[in-house]
Amino acid sequence: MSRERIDEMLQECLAAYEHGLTPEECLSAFPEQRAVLEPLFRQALSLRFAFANSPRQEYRQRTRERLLFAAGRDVSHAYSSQPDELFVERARRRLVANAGAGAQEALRNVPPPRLPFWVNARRRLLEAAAMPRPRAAFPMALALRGSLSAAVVVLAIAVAGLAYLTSQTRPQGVSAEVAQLEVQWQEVQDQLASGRPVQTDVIVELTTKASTLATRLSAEPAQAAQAPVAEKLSAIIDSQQDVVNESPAPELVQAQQQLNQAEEKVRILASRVESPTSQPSAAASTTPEPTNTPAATATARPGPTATPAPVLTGQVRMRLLPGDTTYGLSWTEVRTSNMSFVIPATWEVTNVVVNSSGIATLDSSWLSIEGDGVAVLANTRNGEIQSLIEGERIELRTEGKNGEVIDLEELVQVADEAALPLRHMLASLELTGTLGN
Amino acid sequence: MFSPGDGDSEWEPQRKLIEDAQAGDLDALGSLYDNHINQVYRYALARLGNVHDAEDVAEEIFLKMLAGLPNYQWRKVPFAAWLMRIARNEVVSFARRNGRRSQDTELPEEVVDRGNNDPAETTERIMALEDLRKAVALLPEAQREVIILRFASGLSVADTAKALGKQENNVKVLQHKGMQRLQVLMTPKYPELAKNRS
Repeated sequence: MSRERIDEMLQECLAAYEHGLTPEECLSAFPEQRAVLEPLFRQALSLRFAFANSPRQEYRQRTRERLLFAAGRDVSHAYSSQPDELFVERARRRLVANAGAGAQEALRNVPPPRLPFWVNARRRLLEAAAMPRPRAAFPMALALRGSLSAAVVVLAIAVAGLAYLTSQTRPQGVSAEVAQLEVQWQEVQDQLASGRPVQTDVIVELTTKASTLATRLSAEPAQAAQAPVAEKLSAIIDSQQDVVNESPAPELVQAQQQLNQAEEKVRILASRVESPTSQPSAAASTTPEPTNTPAATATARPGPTATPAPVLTGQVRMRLLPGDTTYGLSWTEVRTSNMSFVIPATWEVTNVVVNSSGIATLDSSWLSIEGDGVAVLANTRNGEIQSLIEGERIELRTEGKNGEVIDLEELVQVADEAALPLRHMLASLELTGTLGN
Repeated sequence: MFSPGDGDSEWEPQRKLIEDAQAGDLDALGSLYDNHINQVYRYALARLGNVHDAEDVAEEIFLKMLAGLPNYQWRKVPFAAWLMRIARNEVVSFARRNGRRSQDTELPEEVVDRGNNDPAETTERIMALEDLRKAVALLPEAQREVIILRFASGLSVADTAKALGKQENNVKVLQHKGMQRLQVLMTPKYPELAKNRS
């Protein structure tokens, strides 16, 4: 039985005990595991008893008083004292008396009654009649109006023409639509990252769009030559799969299937784009018979001056780093489209397969690395890194661009001798592609 | 992920209490103290090993809590974890400042008397628990810290991880290793523990 399962049962027993069950009742819930669980549970309870001291009542009260004093309780009390009742009554009476006097004074200031409106109206009418009439500016006004009308007509024609031209434009290119989808998906991710809910309809719409674009991209040879577009779309699909896979919403089941198909199409496209003849990868160029050689050793090890070509989604490239002798070891760089890091040269990536084009590819989103009794799993999609040392699962890095890396002190505590190579591995980690952006 | 979690309502009373205390409600502050004094005191006592120092430090921890309360953000870290982080820093700086060494502390009455009237058995029980505390003191720092937060202060794994700035899984590993080591340390005196070891 795994250590994690035993821990879970122990936590359940402790929680049940805290809720009032007796130890015997807690243990009876796990009859088959009792032999393993009981000593741990008893020890945990002993630890609770051993440290069950409570502070003295007098101390509790004194410290509470001091805390409240420090929080300003006494100051609040000092300022919250009530005024004398007699004072309140007198002040009220004075206020009312003053208000009455003010009202009388205000009445005294009312202006005299105004003249009836028709008296003023008659006066203004007579004044207007006495004034000379202004000259008519008819021709000028007409010309001005005419020119304005012409300008409006020209503007209307221009707008109509623009609308016509816009409506006649050819459909958007796949690359533009992928870019647009990337922006829309980024908005969804931002929303999710900030903890705000995203409507399932939106997810479905965007996954359908990604799927449609994958179909279009794979159907158009001219577009297929655009490796960056395929790579970008692949990254979006990866990210969408992560979101969809984590959601329990039944509406997303179809989206999940669509994405799987789309991923397959983009993968095929990527391998077509990255064929050995058109763009030789380091893995392919130095591996004459890849099917006969284990994955990790089938990969290329170019010289230190070689400029690495970009690694596409799903591919892995490894190369020896002669210049890196940290801790007196030789190191190999492992690079995927989203991350790169070093591992001791004696360690191996165990889950790489070499496809018919001679390119080393991953069979899942996890890179599995083994060596010196240590197993490391690195998630190439989200940057999470786990390790297994003497049967214990250690979390080395949490997922995400800004994932938290285990600190050195903690690493030494939990990883013992493997701490140094793991430390260098984590220090060398670089996120690229969609993880690095 | 797509809708707010239902578990939030469970924390609503505590959240309200903290917000009221932040707004200057002294009753709420008093309740926060009442809810956490045992947790803080037990941690301080387990780390420092004597009542006098534990009392001094626990008081200081609550004053630090008061100073930091306006800046505390509910969303970032659970309150208990935040408070125990303060406690941890305070204990460390106190020990460094005073160079104190732990002394034996008497076990609380309620533990000593728990459901047993047989003096011999009670004595045996007291000795076993005292030995266990001594064994905890012998654990490596990281394991000891986890064991004390989990079992003396009664923090959950998640809160312990937040208080120590570690990953939850690593806290579980340290707890597991600590408990295994305690069994090893206790076995020479209590051989019956050996036969039960997993």
